[in-house]
Amino acid sequence: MVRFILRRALGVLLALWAAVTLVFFAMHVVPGDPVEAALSQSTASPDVLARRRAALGLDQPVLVQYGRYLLNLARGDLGISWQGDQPVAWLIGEQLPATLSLAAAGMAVALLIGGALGIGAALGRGSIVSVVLRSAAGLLLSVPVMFSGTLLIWLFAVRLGWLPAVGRGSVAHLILPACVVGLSVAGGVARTVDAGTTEAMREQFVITAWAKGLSRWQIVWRHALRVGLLPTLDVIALQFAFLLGGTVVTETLFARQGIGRLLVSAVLDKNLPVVQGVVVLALLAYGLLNFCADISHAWLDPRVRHDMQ
Amino acid sequence: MKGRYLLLIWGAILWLVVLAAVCAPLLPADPVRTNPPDQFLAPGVRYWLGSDQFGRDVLSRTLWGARASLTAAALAAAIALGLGVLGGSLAGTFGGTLDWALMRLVDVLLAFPGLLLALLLVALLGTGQWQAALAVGLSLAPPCSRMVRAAILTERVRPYVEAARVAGASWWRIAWRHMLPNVAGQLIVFASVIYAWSLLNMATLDFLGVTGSPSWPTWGRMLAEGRAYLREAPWIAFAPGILLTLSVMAVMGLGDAWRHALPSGR
Repeated sequence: MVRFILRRALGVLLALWAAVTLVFFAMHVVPGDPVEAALSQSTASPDVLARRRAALGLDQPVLVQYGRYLLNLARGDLGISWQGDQPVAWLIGEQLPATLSLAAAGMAVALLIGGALGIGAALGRGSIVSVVLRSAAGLLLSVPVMFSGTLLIWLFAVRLGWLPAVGRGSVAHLILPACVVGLSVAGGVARTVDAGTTEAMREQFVITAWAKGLSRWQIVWRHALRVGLLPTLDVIALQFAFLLGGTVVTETLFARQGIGRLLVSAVLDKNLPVVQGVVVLALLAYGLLNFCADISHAWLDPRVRHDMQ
Repeated sequence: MKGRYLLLIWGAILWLVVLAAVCAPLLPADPVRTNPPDQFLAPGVRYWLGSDQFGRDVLSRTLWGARASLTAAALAAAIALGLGVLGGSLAGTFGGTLDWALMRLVDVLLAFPGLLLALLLVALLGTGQWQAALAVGLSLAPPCSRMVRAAILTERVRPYVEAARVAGASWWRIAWRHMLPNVAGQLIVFASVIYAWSLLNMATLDFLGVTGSPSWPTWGRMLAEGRAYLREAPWIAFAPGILLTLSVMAVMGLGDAWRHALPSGR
């Protein structure tokens, strides 16, 4: 087990390093540097420009900059924003709680709705219930977040007036955004849970359980779902990608603070250190989640554990 | 048999959307010219789908938006498919070091969660409609090349490839003249998935406002305007939202129905 964990960790670290390197050099291929961009309008003398470049370390060779960047990254230093001169890590840290609570609440909604749709569709196989639930999951997969979000805001905030559409702080402010994020991911969760449960219901041990005379309830909850829900673990890690996209759009929809808004405004301002910082953070989170999914999968499923040894 | 009907239904829906986009210039209303006295008029006889914050006709903007959205997504999908087919078939056919290097690059790119790669590319390429289409196309190329490579790998061990090899054909010729035509059916399925994602991702970038020129309508921009004026005029967002959802469903449905119609389909 330990060897397995170490090997996976090394793999994740290597992938992270490669991705970070790619981002770093992509940023340096782009013509024009921040000093020019920030000061081109002003009438600063070449001397001032040179001093500013030296302060940002941009007068060094690219490889030296790259080494320094990696060292700083290892220390948790993501560089300085080109606007306002604040550390990128600080800017991100300020926005992180809002995004984390939105993502966590959204994931909870997604698992609840997606799980119910998927289990219902798998158990009601061949009946009209399953057709309806599968169509609902298909619809959720196709509706763009900004449209489902707009519809929910229109219904619950504008027409019914039950929930606030903007602002943050209380639990009420989180419900609607969390539902929007959750619905955007629920379709994918439903598909996986459906497939996993359907497959599990066909397994030999389920047939054995039927033969033993167990009730349908016991078979589903005690036997089939335990195996059928295992793939959902991987889905949580995989759907994180969609969750992130959904969060970016949702934060714009609800004019909420968060990493997504920070990223979009940084893209608009061509504030590359902030873009780079957010991207690196997302890479780290994505890699870590996949790592955890692998480990927990191995831990939960004796068959995988057996294969490793 | 059921698959055939689905193919027909989704095809008809998509055909109607495209027809509406093609017919946009036939509408009398200008999609861009502002008309302040007619601000926020509800759907009615004069404005079938209502008017927006500048008194522009929502119907006309939706149909012109369909043109912009469908073509931009088509461009993005073409870039993704072009690179994907090239990279995937090279890696799958020649194998060895080339395959290893290409697939490690794809692995690294797949480590970027979804929309993030597109946003990163927009930050590098600059904001604008074409840059955004290029960004979406490049961000979808890695998964596409994965799919193409997998399809080519299963073809590579077929007897006809061996026969062509024995007949003295080069790998280039086998890839282009023998294997690619044989996976064309699967390529159409990939293309439908990639096009659906392109539609969604382009609309998302439009919605986030990172594609430049805000006056020209696209579905994504109209959704952003609809959100901004949701209290005054909810109808601005409805038509583009419904058409976008329908188009994505139709494209995915077509690909699905096509896959079932394939001889190897399940």
